Amino acid sequence: MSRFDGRKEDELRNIYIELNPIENAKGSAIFAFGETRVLAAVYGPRGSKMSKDYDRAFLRVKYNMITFSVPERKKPTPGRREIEVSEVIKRAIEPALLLEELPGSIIDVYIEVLNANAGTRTASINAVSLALSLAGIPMRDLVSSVAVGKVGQKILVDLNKDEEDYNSEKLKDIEEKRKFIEFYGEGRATDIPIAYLPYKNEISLIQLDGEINNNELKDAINLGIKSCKNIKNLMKDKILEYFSDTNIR
Amino acid sequence: MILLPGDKLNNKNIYSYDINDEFFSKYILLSNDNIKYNKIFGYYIPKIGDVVISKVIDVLSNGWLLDINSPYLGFLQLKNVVQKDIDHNKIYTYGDYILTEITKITKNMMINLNLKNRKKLNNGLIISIDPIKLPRLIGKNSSMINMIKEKLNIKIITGKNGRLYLSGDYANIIKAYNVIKFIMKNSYKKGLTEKINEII
Repeated sequence: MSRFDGRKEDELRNIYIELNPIENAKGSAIFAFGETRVLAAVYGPRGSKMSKDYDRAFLRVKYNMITFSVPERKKPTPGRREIEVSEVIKRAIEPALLLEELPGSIIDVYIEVLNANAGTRTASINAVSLALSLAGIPMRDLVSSVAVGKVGQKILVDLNKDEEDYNSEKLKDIEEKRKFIEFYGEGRATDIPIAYLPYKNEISLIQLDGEINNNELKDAINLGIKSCKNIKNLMKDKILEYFSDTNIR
Repeated sequence: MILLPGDKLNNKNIYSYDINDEFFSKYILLSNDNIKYNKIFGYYIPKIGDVVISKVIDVLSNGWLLDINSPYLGFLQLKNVVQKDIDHNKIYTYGDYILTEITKITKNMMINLNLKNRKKLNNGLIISIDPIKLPRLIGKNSSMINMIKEKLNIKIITGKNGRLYLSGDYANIIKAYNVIKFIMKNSYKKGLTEKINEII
């Protein structure tokens, strides 16, 4: 018996990375966790007319979900959730950047969720960190991010939508999904997105939605950090591959 | 060898930051011997004396605000251009490109510019390329760019900020544009000048 999509407990969904898909942006990247697919583009650093008093660059992050990225059409206006996620992503990325080297300039980051199946903010953070490095913005390290969680009684990594909405009470009524209760156990799902800064061994983002006890949280975070390190290595390999055959040897 | 942000470097340089006397890369860098490091793409950082092609983005009472394709804005003072009291929208206005020289950079990155040439650069094509790759386009003793100019019989003005101004025959400008794009894509290859010679 395994998870809904046949993965092991510490197994990530398939990761797909594409670098510089947008030619006119300074740097851009597509990052996908399975069916969750996110496009990030960086414009700038560019000059601004605002006061020269600022001692650091101004990072503007705009997160947007495309109307057809979710099963039911989403209104294109930015709502409460979009504004919150933009801010969350900005705060997760900012500690890795050396913004004080570009005082008074503006860096624009645009994020479009092309397809959503849980974990869009973590995929966004990965895409943004790739795009920023390709734009030549001074940064200390690549930030990587993944969601961990407790589904039923199990600690798992990289939840998909089915697991995020897990509820053993409801699942009992569905014939073909009843067998999964055996694997996951009774209860509901807890979702914990984590962003990790490898150079300082620090976590720059942690959110928690649900219930979990102290020891389980520690296990979950350790699992998350382990996965983040794997994701960072994958991103690194992808950049090296990109420069080896296309642009620069 | 390609180095990524966070990779360890052997010595301190302008592309590194340090934690506890160890040096790490800030950018994606290229290095052949692990001693000398080079950026392979990036943005233009203004230096005094550089000749840049700037675009007028605002007309103020005492001069013009210019976009110089860098993280900072440039400023051209009215008194450096004309002494008479006339409407300076008539001299340069929004969207005009002009050739300027950087004369002064203040501590809070206010960049003062002076005119290099009074003429507007409005009768040709402006293209932007990566400023870090500009030396490759110019070539040794400007061999590459001179070849393009002579063979295609066009004028090219280069700004240090990665902007190029092409003027001349329409068909030749398009040709030159494609050649420049080709150079930018293959900027790492050896013997590029000979290859371009064949293409043209």
